[in-house]
This record gives sequence, C-alpha cells and structure tokens, in this order.
Amino acid sequence: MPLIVVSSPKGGVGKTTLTANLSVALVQAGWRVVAIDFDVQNELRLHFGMPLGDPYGFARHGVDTQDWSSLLLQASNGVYVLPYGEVSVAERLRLEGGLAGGRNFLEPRLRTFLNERDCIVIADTAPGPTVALGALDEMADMRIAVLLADATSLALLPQIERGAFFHASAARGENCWYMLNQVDSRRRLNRDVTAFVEGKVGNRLVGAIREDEAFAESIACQHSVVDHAPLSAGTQDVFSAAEVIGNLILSVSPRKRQAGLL
Amino acid sequence: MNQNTFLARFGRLVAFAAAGFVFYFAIITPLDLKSQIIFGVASIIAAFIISRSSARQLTIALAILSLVMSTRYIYWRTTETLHFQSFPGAFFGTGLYLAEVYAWLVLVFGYFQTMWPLERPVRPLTGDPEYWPTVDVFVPTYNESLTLVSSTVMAALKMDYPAGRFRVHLLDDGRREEFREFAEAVGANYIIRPDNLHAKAGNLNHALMVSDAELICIFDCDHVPTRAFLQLTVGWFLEDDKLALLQTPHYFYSPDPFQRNLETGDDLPGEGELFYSSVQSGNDLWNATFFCGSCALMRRSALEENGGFAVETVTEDAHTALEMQKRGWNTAYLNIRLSAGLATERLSLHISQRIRWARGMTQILRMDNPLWGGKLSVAQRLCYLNAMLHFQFALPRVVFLTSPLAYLLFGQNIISATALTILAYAGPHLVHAAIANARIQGKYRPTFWGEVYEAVLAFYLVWPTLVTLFDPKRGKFNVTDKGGLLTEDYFDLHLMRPHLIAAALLVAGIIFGLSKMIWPDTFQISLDTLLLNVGWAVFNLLILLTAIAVARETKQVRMQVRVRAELPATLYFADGHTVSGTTQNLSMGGVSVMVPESFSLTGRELTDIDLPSGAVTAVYPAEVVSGSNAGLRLRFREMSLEARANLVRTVMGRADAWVSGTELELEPEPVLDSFTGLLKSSSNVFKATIGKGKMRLQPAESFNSNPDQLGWWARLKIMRSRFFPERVIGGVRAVFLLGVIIGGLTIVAGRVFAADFDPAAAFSGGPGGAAPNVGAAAPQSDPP
Ligand SMILES: Nc1ncnc2c1ncn2[C@@H]1O[C@H](COP(=O)(O)OP(=O)(O)OP(=O)(O)O)[C@@H](O)[C@H]1O
Ligand SMILES: [Mg+2]
Repeated sequence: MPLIVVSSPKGGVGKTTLTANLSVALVQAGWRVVAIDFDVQNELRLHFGMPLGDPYGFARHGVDTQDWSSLLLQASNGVYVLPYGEVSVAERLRLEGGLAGGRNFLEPRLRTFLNERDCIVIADTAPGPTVALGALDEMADMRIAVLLADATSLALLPQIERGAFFHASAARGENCWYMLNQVDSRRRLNRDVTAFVEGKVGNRLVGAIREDEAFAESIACQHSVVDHAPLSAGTQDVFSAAEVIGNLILSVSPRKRQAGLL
Repeated sequence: MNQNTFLARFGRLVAFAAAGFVFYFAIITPLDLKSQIIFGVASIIAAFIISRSSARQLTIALAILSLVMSTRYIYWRTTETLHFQSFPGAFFGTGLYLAEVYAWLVLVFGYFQTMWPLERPVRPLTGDPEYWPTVDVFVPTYNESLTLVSSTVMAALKMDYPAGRFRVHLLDDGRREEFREFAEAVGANYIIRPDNLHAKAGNLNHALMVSDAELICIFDCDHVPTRAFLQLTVGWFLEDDKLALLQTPHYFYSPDPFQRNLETGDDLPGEGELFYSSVQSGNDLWNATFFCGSCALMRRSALEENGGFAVETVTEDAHTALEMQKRGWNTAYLNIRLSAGLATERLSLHISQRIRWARGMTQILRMDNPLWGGKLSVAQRLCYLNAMLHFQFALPRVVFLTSPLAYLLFGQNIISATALTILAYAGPHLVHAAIANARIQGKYRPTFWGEVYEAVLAFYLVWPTLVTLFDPKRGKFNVTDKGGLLTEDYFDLHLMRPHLIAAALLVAGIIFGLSKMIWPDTFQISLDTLLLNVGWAVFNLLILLTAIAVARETKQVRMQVRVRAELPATLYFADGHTVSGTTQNLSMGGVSVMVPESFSLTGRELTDIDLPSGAVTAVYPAEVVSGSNAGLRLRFREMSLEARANLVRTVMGRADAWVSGTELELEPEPVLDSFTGLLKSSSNVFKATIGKGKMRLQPAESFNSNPDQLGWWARLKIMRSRFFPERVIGGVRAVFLLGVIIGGLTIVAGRVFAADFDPAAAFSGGPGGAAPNVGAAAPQSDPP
C-alpha cells in the first residue's frame, strides 16, 4: 500500500543499491514489493539479474499505459521490478512531460499496486531534484534521503531538514526519513558524522548501512547483497533497516496513511 | 486482650513447652546400647522420609532433628565418656571433647544463621534522576598493576547512573604518577594522602574527608562492577533511612585454587559461594549482614557517626559493620552478582588472606565482642558471634585430623566407651548433620568440602588465631604480607609440609593398626575399636590428600580466563569484506567467535571486530591467533583508552554478565597448546621441564602433533604428569614410604615390648566418632 521514495541530493551514495536490497529484505519479511526505477541510468535492474543488453523498461510505454501493473517483471527472488529501460531522448522527454503532471499522472498508473494491502512500492530516483521526484514526492508515504557517512552530509542534512530538497510542504519535520550509507565505525570522522546525524534526526534515521565490499561484489554478479552475501555486516544492516521500515508501515493507521502522514 | 489472640498465644506457648519437653527428654534420657541403636536408626529413617519433600518448613524440621541428635551426643559425651586412665589420655581426650563442643556450637549457631535466608528483592529507583542520591565511588589501591585497576575504574565510570550524580575516585596509596595520568585521562578523581596509616581503612577514611556524596560505593581494585550496579542497589537507601550498608556478593570469574588445582574442580562451586549465597542471606533476615570490604554501598552519615571505618583490627570491614550496627544502623544484603573479580591466584595467597581474616575476626572477638554493648538484638549478636567463632576452626580441625593417632600409634584411650556405643551416639549426630547441611547448603558446598577447606588452612591458622586470642594487639597488619608466602615453586610442597607429615602419621597409624589385626594375640586388641579408628584415620587421610592435591599449583597454565557469552559480532577484513558471527567467549585479551561455515576465511586478513558495549556497538582492532569458522580465536591489538573502556563494559560490565553463574572457559591461552606441545618433546625433556617449573606456551604449530606417535608408556607417563606433576607424585610417595617405615618400626617395637601394652585400655576403646563437624554449618569467610 505505501509508496516509499528513495532519493538524495548527491549522486553515487547508494540509492539504487539500497532500494534493491531493501526490496529483497522486505520480500523476505513477507511483503509484496514493487521496485520502480525512475533513473535514466537504468541500473536497478542489474541488481536483479536482468541481462545488460535487454532494453526493456516502462519508460517507453509509460505515458500510454494506464496501469503499469501490466508492464511488471518479477525477479527470481520474488521482487517485482519495473526497470526504466532504454529510451531515446524523445521518449524520455515524453515521460518527463507526463510526470510533470504530478500526482494526477502517476497515481492512476500505480493504483493497482497501491490498492494492495500487503504491497510496498519503492521508487529509486536519479540524484538531485528531478521531475520524477517531484511527482513521487507529492504522493509518497515515506521519503527516504540517503546520505553518506562522510563530511558532505554535515552540510546536506540541515538543507534537507529545512525543506530545501523534498516538496517543501511535505518535507518538514517528521515526514522525512534518512538512511546513512557506508558507515565505518573504525574511522573517526565517519563515527562523528554518524553520531551527528543520529543526534539531529533521532529515530527518523531508519538505517545505518556499514561499508562493505560485498555490495560492490554482488552488483558485479548481478545479485542483491542479501542474496549474494547473506552473512555480511551490510546485509545485517539492510535487514535491520527493512525491519524498521516494515514496523513503521504497520504502526501507522490507515487513516493517517490516507492523510499522507507516515 | 482479645480472647482469640489470647487463646492463640496460650496455645502456642503450650505447644512450645510440649516440644521443649520432648526435646529435653530426647536429649538426656539414657538408653542402653540396643535402644540407642534403634532410636538412632529410627531417627535417621525419619530424616530420610522428611527430606523427600522440599518444603522449607521441613528443612527446619530436619535442622531441629539434627540439633536434638547432636545435642544428645554432646550430652552423652559430657556425662559418660570423660573418664581417663592416663595423663596423655586425659590430655588428648579433653582436647577432642573441647573440639567437639566447638563444632557443636558452630553447628547450632550455623543452623540459626542460615535457616531462613532472606531473599531480598531489588528496590527499583524511582522519581526524577536529578534527585537520586549522589554517590562517591572509591577504588582503593596500593600495589596492584594498572591493568587490573584500570578495568575497575573504567567500568565504574561507565555505570548507568545520572552523570552529575556520581564520581569515581582512585585512592592510590602507592602514589604512582602513571596512575595519576590514567585517572586524569579517563575522568576519575585521583586521591593520595601523605602516609599509609591503617592501610585500606586509613585510605578510605582519608577519601571520606575529601569527598561529599551521600552514599559511598566501594570496589576493591580487582572487582569490576557491571553497569547496573548503582541502579539496582541505591533504591534501598531511599526505602530505609537507617540503612547504613548494602552488601552484594563478591563473585569471582576465575577459578579459586581449589577449582583450579583439582581434577573435579570444574563442578565445584566457588569456595566463597556458601558464604555469599547462604550465610549472608541468612544474616540479612536478622539484620546482621556484614561488610565484606568491597562491592558494597554505604551511607556517609552512618560512617561519619561511626568516626569512619574501624582501624583497630585487620578486618576493618566486618568491624565497621559491627560498630555501625551497635549504633543502631541497619544493614542489607542483595544476593545478585553485580560485579566480578579475579579469585586469589595462588594457594599461598589464599592462606595468607585467611590468616588475616582469622586474626581480624579474633581481634574483634576480643576487643569489640558482639555479645556486649550497643543496640544489638540477640539474633544480631549470635550472627556476629558465629562469624567470629567460625574462624577458630583451626585448632579443632587439627585435633579431629590427628585424634585417631592417639589410639593407633600410642594406644591411648580418649573416649571411654566401646566402639559400638560411640557409633550408636556419634552415627546419628553425624548423619543428621550431613543430611540437614546438604539440604541447607549442599548447592553451595558439597558434603565434606568444608573439611577440605578447613584442612588446607588449619595448620597455618592455629598459631595466628591463638596468639591473637591471647593478645589481640600482637602482630601488625601490612598489605604487603599478602605476598609473603609467595614462591616461584611449581608445587607448593613446603606449604604442604604439615599436611604431608600428618598424612604420613595417619598412614603409619593405619598400617600399624592393620598389623595389630594380623597378630591379635600379641596386641590383645579389640577388633571393633581398632576398625573404628582405622576407618576414622582413612577418612582423615582422604581429606588430607585432597588438601595436598590443592597445593599442586597448576601454574604452568597461565590461564586467561574467558567469560562465556554469546554476543553478536561483526568481523572486518582488510579486503573490505565483513561477516557477522557470534562470540563464544571473551576476555580483556581476546575473543573467540563462531563464523558461518559458508564464509571463506582463507587468504583474508582480519583487522577489526565489533561487539556490543552497553547500548552501542564498539569496534576493536584485533588479529587472528588460530582456529577456524567453528571457533576463531582473536587477540585484541593495541587500542585507545576509550576503546579499552568500552571493552571493559563489553567483557565485564554487561548487566547480566554474571547472573547465570560460573560460565567460564579456561581453555584459551596455553592449556591445550602447552600440553600438545609437550607431547612432541621426549618424556625426558618433559621431566626436566616439570622439575624446573618452566613449562611455557608452545607455538601454535604444535597443535596438530599426534599423540599416537608416542609409545603407550610415554603417553601414560605424560597423562600422569599432567594430573600429578612429578613433585606431587614424589611427595605422595614420600608420605607412604615414611608411613610404612614408621608403621614397621612401631610393629617391631610393639612385638618386642608387647608386655607393656595395657590390654584393658586397648579393649575399652579409643577415640571415635566425632570425627568431622560434618559441614559444620556455615563457614564465615569474610573477604577483605
Ligand atoms: N554500503 C556500501 N558499502 C560499499 N559499497 C557500497 C555501499 N553502498 C553502495 N556501494 C557502492 O557504491 C556505488 C554506488 O552505489 P549506487 O549505484 O547504489 O548509488 P546511487 O546513489 O544509486 O548512484 P546514482 O546517484 O548514480 O544513482 C556502487 O558501486 C555500490 O556497489
Ligand atoms: Mg542509482
């Protein structure tokens, strides 16, 4: 039922990796999960074993298809995936034009997923403010900003908190959640940043994912870490984050969710 | 007065009077031998039937039964057995009788003291933490190493209590610069004083003057508190305004010399267990818990009214508690393990510690006797008295151990009764005491182990207790005499000299006694008296041999005590990979973790491990020592002070660290390595190594050496040496040889001078029964 948007002002922080792995972890926790890639880099699919050369995606037909559930793929680990696909510039602009319509464009197309009680839609986005983020932002139940546990976050966090990144009306206060990525408690600065973020946002930090070579390795073999290295620290952290997210979803009453307050 | 309550009272009075009459007659009625045997057997059967149920009331019934039978025995001894024919007979006989009276007294008081242990619950702290009492935590030290002291200080600093409400003070009587720097670095207050007057008590008193919190918390520098210590103890001080002291158990996570040096040691409860589980809880019921020098919380106002800690005796702890209670303050005991420390490392240290306690308790007995003065209830007086009486065990124990010799070697008749009569009276006395004690304290101290503990110490305590009893001011307490008996000896042979001599004499007595049986006409013996004495001597010999085995210091296995604990851990490798595992055991030196089989360790270099520390997870630098996925042994590398403080909390500060009992692993460092390593060397080299006491850790490669390559004889020898190092075997051999020689000589002498033997004396009996004060109630150890 809920829509989760994973985004970040900065690129390369691990949005796609976390989206993919959270999806797997949530599936293992018993949810149905639809992972949608809104990034033209079309990388999400690589975490689910889709061949590199396969151009399939929803972007090409997105505007014309009224219900995207007909475009869905399912990965062998159970996650439903909507890859972005390979598109021409014209096709991309056409989709973006549609997305510029915001909620009115997107909501009907995702309705089938959103109506399922045990279904979570999780959207991966391109870095920074994009048209897709704007549309998703309007209807999201949960906005997760991914930050790196490094010095850049010291500057980014206050900006996001001020409402400069997400839809200003929605972003303030408790509607914005965080994940810290590449945490390494062996390094002093890294520890300090983690402590800083924890102190600033408290329990709106849904997960701190440790830096772990298994992430890079798993993407190289086109797997999620959860499947590839189930015993690594990174996987443990993804699982804990998925548990937190799952509990948050369950703890929020449907009425509140209706009001868009997760 | 209400009619009903009057009737109830009257009824109770009648019941008590009736019971009193029954007991009175059960004690004094003389019976002929046959009736006494029937009475004894019947009472034992009754005890066995009663002990089938575990109700608490029936425990009391068993104790009362035991009291009646023991008192009957003592009554009989007093009225019928004290007729002596010769001076030596009278001397030994009176000695044995007095020892038995002592044992009986301790038994009576012991039942009273431990009968109904108060299981005091935790009184939770409530209200605004800003108003919780302030606490000064004192960690006194004199000459201990910084490694030891630092753990305690850091753990104390990390206790869960509002930050502004407690301070940790390091009381350094050694005035060491290194300690000052450490204290400053971790945020503890460093206190020194100009002199070392009155040792620890003086140190604490000085610190009292330069601090000001409402409560004082004391940890000896080797007792590491868990984080929950203050939260679980302070509450009672809010509940009871007159509470001066709350004591918690001293728990030792390393094995004491008994557990360490004996083959059966693994199943043996700690030597102090009985005192902390049974005695102190029992004392608590009577508001007579006493201070044990560490792991306790005290009220400043009570201490101040008392003029600080008592300095007149060498056991300032028990004495301070007694003084405060005499002024009307209350004490409490919370039987939850909230701290842990290292047990006395060596037997010699254990002995000198007990010499100090025995002297101190005797000093109090003489200088500040609990029977007189102050606002104490009768029960409180008895509890304190028993604590002090307990430490007089040395002479009686030596008497019990050596008494059968009077008959076996010297033909002296020290109980004037036939063997069967002795058995008929002493049998029920001993069996009942054993049954009742096993029930009251069997969990904490198996039957007969009290005898072993006492036997180890007895020879060394006789003189100090006697001297102190006659002149309490003699001898000066000095912290350094802790190490007085310490030697580099592998087997503390010289420490066991009195035990070996006593054992040799017993062997001689047994052999002599048996030889008398072979030539009965020469010696004109009474078989049953002889058998009784031989049996008694054999029992004593067993106790002594066990005591001697304790001296077989397993020093070679410089053991690293690791605490068994299953904690989630993450291992970090140099190639950026990580894996989660579960710890199996940990110590301040290293940790052993289990890593899932599917994770390949080959070619990977471990750099760090993270472990939960309090509410957070902390990372520690570490390296692999040995092992595989099923059990990877890591050693911590050099780490920052902050990391060390976290580690203390991980290893020893967990609130539940010690709750589950003696969950220890002694395997690590050398034990296995040195043993398997030794298998490689020839047995000759092995012998030489043993002799010099220089067994050392071998490199880990030797781990896989195959014992099968050795001949069976060599292997057997190695096995034997493992359990009994050469010098022990040598010692035992010497004992037997000596025994055989003495026995032989006595036989020859006996045959030559056969005419001099008095047949009548030999016939009419010998010493008997009364041997051990079977688990004679609760030993009052009182850790310093
Ligand atoms: N916790 C982690 N530990 C180690 N490497 C990580 C971790 N998280 C992500 N990475 C690596 O960081 C790189 C970037 O990750 P990813 O592509 O998921 O980021 P992104 O935010 O989606 O990037 P973009 O902004 O380009 O979409 C990848 O190579 C990934 O394997
Ligand atoms: Mg991406």
